[in-house]
Amino acid sequence: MFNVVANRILWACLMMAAISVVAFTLIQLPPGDFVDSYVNHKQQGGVIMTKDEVAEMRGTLGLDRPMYVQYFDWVGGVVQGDFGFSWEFRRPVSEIIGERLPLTLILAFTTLLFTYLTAIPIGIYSAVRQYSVGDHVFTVLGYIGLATPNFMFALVLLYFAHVFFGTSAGGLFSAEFETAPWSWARIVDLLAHLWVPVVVLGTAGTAFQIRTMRATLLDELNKLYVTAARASGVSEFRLLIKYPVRMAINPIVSTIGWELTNIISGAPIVGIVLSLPDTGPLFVDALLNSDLYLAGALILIYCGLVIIGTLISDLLLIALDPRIRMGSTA
Amino acid sequence: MGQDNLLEIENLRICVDSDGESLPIVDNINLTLKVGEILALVGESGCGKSVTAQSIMRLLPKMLKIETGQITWHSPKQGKPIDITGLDPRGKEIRHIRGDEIAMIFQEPMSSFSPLHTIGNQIMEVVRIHRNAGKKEARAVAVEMLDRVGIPDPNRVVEQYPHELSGGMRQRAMIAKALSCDPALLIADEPTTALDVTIQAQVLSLMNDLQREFGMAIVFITHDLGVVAQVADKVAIMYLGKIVEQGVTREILLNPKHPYTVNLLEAVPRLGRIEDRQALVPIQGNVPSLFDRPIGCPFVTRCSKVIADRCDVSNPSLSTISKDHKVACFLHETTERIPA
Repeated sequence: MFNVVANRILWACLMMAAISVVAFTLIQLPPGDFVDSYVNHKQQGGVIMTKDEVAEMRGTLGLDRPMYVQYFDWVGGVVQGDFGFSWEFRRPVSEIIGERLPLTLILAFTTLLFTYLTAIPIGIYSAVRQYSVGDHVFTVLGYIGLATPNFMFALVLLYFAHVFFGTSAGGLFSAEFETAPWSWARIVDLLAHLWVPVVVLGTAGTAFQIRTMRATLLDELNKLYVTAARASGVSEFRLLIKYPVRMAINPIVSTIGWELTNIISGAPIVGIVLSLPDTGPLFVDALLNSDLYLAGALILIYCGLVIIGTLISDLLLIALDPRIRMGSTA
Repeated sequence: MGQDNLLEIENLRICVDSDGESLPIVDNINLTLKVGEILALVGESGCGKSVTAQSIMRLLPKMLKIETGQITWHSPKQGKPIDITGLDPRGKEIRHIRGDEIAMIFQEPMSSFSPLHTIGNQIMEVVRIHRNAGKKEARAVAVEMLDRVGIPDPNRVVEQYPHELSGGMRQRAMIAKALSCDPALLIADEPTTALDVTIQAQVLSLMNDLQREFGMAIVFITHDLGVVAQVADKVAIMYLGKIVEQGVTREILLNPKHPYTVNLLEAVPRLGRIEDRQALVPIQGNVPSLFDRPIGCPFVTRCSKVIADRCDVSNPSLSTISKDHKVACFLHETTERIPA
């Protein structure tokens, strides 16, 4: 078992390393480097730099070194928490991200929690009461949820939140808490706002997971081991939870990784529509302004989250299923 | 009815609902089983033998309904007759009977255990439900049962998962689970069909030994007449949801009357016949679909001895031709009934 866990963690690290190469390549891909754009800026200000000056600047910044050296330099920084410098904000990238990342993480993991806590019970209900009124209602709601684009849904919810709950439109905090230090009241205020983006980001995923849970459970309910357990006198509820639900949860758990991907890739648009102070809008800005170290850092972090999500689902599967734990394929 | 009857099935009719119509899957089933007796239900796939067995424990799938008939269980533990057809299939009464008084083993030892729980956990569950036993006590029972069904190193197997055992071992574990509460009736739904021939023989002889040891009655479902000869006291041959011939095993196998039984016996491979270079005789044609049931005798489409204007017009009922033998065939109709 230790081997299997170690194996998964090792692979996660290797994936992370591979992605750092991709992220670095992305940063380097546009023509010209930081010095070129600096020289341009100077030129627009009327200052013309000599070739020697430019070369000297490259030298001080280390940009004249071979690519792989620069890569390791960058990765070395990243490992120590230094993601480079943001041209746009004229501040270290780590500082900018540090302010906004916690909210992104809160948003992503709350959405994930929301998705699974809603989808699993509803999926069980829909399977056990197949073709009942409730099942049909959830099916219709689910398809609407799957089919509605996030930004549209965000706008609709924004409207209803404003009209019925009087919460200030968008953002994650009311005005008075925007810059206040963390306190109980601020957390409550956050939760009052958080549900809108969570529902927007989570609905499609929830709808999908309900379908998965329902379909898998329907399959499992007809398996022989369920009949066998029933034949030994186990009560219906206990039977349901102990056997088929346990089995049907596996495919749900194994999708945590890409559910997180969906949430994260959906977040920037929702973030812009709802003007959330998280990394979503920041990422879009960074891409639009070729603020490459910032963009690269965010790509790296987002990919990191996906890898962590996958790792979590792998580890959960190992905990849940003895066949995976023992590395058997039976 | 005899005093020592354990199970009586009378006029059982089970139907499937299809487009608002209800089609009979099994019809007019009458069976009795005495304490400690082994009854074999024999027939091709789809003849309704499993459905009959499942109805005894009220384990029928949702779309199947018991339409008429009575299943009376003379519960030795509760000391009174219980009409099983009158119980709620999800209710407490039937749950008390399942696993404790009547236990069941299945064809597929691969899939009849949950892959996510240890063998021990699943045996202990039965013991804990019915015996009000603690964990330790239940575990001791599980180990003992695994030992009694001939599983080596039961203390280790208790902690193992189903995928770590071979098919034969899993079927033994299934038997251990079924017998863990000392049931009065064991329903074995083709317990050896999915096993290798050598393992089949081992499991059969194990079941024979355990039957003698525990004294439970067995309803043995099979399509293999060779197995019937080895284990059963009584046999009922089913075809398309009906019993076409039933009686004492020896009598039926040595003196088959119904053309279907005769054909089934001819289709059993035997060593002697191979030496004589006699070919096996397959039964012509296929079992008709339930939705396309022939008029008259169910076997009329495949029978080689059809009496014109008789077999294809009306359905013969089961008539008693000797004390140990009943058959539903116009070829063997008796006008006067011999008292059973």
